[in-house]
Amino acid sequence: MEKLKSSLPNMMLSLVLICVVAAGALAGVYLLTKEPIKQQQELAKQNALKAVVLPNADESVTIKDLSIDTIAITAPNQQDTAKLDTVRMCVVHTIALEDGTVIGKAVETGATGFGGEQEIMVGFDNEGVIINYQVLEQQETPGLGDHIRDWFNDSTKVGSYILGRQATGQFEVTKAKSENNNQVEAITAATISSKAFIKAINNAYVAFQKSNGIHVEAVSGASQLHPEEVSEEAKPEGEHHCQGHCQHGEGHQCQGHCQHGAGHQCQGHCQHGAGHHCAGHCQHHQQETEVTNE
Amino acid sequence: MNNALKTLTNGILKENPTFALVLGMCPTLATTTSAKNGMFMGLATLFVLVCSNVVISMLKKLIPDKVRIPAFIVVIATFVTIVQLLLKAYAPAVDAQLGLFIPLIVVNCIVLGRAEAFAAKNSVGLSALDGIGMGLGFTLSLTVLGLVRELLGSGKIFGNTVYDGSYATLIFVLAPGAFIALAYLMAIVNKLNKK
Repeated sequence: MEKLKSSLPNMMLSLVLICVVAAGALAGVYLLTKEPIKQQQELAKQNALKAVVLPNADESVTIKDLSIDTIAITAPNQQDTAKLDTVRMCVVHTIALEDGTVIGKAVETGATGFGGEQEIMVGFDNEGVIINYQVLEQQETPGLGDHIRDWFNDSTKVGSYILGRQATGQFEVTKAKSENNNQVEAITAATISSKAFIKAINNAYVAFQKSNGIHVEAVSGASQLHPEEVSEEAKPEGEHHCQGHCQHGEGHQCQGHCQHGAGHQCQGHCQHGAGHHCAGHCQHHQQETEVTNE
Repeated sequence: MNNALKTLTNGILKENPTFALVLGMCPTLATTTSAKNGMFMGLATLFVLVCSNVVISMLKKLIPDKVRIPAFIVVIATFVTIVQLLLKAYAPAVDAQLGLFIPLIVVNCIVLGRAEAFAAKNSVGLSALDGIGMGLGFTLSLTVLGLVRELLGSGKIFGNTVYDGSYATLIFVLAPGAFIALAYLMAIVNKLNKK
């Protein structure tokens, strides 16, 4: 057969034919792979949910995604606090065991890091304590910023270990030693990635509380807004301390809500220095324990 | 027979796409942060190369010269999309790791280059062999490059720790390290080829 001449009808016919066959082939492969791809995505999501709320459970344990809420939060602009706040959509999954007991919530959120968007999923128990997190997507520098995946869940690094910490929406990155619950030591040589990550954790907590009907303000995590914050002592077992906005330094008037127990309100003293009054509602249990720091 | 063998081995050292022809540098530099990434990138390209070479050599009489480039690109893009869908469905981990670079195989010069320089002029069988040879050459060079960078940059080989990662030279995992490692490997391969 002779090679086709480059005449207009020939060119059109040949291109159209090739495109039609290509489209047909693609449609076929798409149909074949549609189901497996969907299954893989479901599986990946299920695994991520399980990893953040039940990290130590084995394969056989199944969890139920009771409800999925999309919550919009206003997050402070992390690069420049003077700039307008940004609105971020967070997805909150309420997670229960097979028998229906709610064990916590998993929040999908993110922040802008050094190389692009960081998408993370954070698991909280019902009290707002961080169970685990997973980085779903990130474009941080390999070897530096991409340590967000394994830096903050490494129990050998106490200062940057955030699992088991009570989230407050007030986490901030520090380059020095972490001195209290809210201070998290940054990844060596990747401060911007760390700040973004901590910001995302704060965002997640805000969304978590919003899904519980409680309003919390997050700090950007980028700057130390309250350098006068005093250190918080390790909590004695069983005692219920105020941990939200109520742990600032001496002379700092506490305003707004703390975040414990649903709808549980109590007035009076926080655990700050003696005679320090909380302006807003704290929410300790009825018989209030007045605790003083130091 | 001799001709066929020559076609097959051509791509591995003498006309190695990466080290001798210096084609397809973008995925070469970007995906070789570890040996495994380099290998999978190479294999994906190998698949596309073989398929597109075969189809294009079958269609070479039906494609008028003036529209050959768009026709080749449509064929290549089809196979790339097929690879992408298959990876997503059956190897999601690889897909997540290579991400954007799978769709970018479409514009990898080595694929279009072989279509234009070889498949459009040779028989189906030889084109398939050329695709395999070139693809293997590409896979090998990406794997070696990934191996060197992974070993120097994170102290691992194929993900297995060889020495403590904190003594590793981080720059080799980053972009500048890609250029440095590539240059040294290229020098070695050229030295071997000159003999």
